[in-house]
Amino acid sequence: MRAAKALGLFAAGLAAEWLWSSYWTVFGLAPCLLLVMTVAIASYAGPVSGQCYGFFWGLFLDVVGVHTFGASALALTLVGYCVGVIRRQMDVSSPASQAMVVGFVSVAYAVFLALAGLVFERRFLWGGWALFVGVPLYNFLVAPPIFFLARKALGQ
Amino acid sequence: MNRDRRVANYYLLVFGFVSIVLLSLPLTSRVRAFRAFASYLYDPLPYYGGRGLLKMRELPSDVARLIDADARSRQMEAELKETALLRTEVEALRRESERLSHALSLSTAAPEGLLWAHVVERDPQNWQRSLIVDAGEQEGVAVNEPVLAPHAGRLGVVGRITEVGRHTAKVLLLSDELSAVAAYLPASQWEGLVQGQGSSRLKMNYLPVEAKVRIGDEVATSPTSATFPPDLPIGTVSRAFERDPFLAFQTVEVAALVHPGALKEVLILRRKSEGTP
Repeated sequence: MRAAKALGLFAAGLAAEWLWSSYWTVFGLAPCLLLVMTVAIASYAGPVSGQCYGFFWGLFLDVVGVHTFGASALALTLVGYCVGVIRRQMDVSSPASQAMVVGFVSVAYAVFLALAGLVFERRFLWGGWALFVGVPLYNFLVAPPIFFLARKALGQ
Repeated sequence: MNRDRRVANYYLLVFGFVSIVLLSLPLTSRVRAFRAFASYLYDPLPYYGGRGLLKMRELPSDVARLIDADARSRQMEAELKETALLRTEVEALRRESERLSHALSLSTAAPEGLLWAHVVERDPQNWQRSLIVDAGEQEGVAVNEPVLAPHAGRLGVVGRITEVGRHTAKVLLLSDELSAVAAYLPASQWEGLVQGQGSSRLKMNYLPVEAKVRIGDEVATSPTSATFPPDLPIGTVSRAFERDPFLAFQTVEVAALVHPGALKEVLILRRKSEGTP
């Protein structure tokens, strides 16, 4: 039952990411829902769940993309681990703090991917200021509802 | 370090190692195989999701079409009821006509039944020559049966069946050079023979020299035709040739009503078979 629930959550995350990034973009920008959901799951369920979801969701992002296959999987694994480990020291009870955490992690995620490009493809994968600022801002805005849904889905 | 933290560290090591290998060795066969496998797992989502979404988007228009079809069906049912009386009258007239023809020993080309067929192939060399329809011997099609097609709300002559297969039949088009059909001008009652020229323009020969023919006059199948029922439109006179003083008849050009290139469906008039009362 737990496995089915986990698979359902995993598939729902993929579907939400694909739907939003394919059909509901604003000025060509969409939030990275999988990143926000990894942060939310790691915050509520701990580093193991956060890493598992993060790695396999990251693989999806890598399959969709063309650069640095494995970078998103590594980045989301690290996000799941770090957030899960320090969750006891974090306050994610209020929407504002959830949004702040997600905003910070989003910027770190964007920098990490750009640096991964520099290391493994010998070029800084810079998507422009719109992506560097817009997507974290978008993630910042959608974080509270995603945290709410993740908490309901995890039964907490 | 508690147990959860240790497990989390192991997971980090495993996932991190796999990710680093994927990043570091992107061109090795195993990484490429892994990537192909991951694509195989994840690609169905966009593919089937996209198709499902497309179907959902089409759902409102499909429902609207269904409602429209229902309304039209009701309207047609009402019209059908109204035509019941007309049909009875037509049936009575047809029976009377058959009785009279039989009494006068006249042969008739009255069809026994109608059969719609789809055009499945055309002569690739010349679309004006022949085409193949998806009805054949199994459907009761026989050689020499007339073939018609609707055009602008009317049925026009297309040609006749020349070959019959099991589920297909070949139609020799009226525009083929080998085609000919007895025709007349309903406006003046003059008779002639319409022949194909291998183009969309037909030729009507053997019109008497005294016949007054005007451009735009309708040309229809003659009541004397052994193959076609009378008064089926063939086309309209598009040009009258200069009279040849050495010939005892005149010729006009006829623009066919039905263009073979635009045919999608045809109507085959099934004839009474031998022994049918």
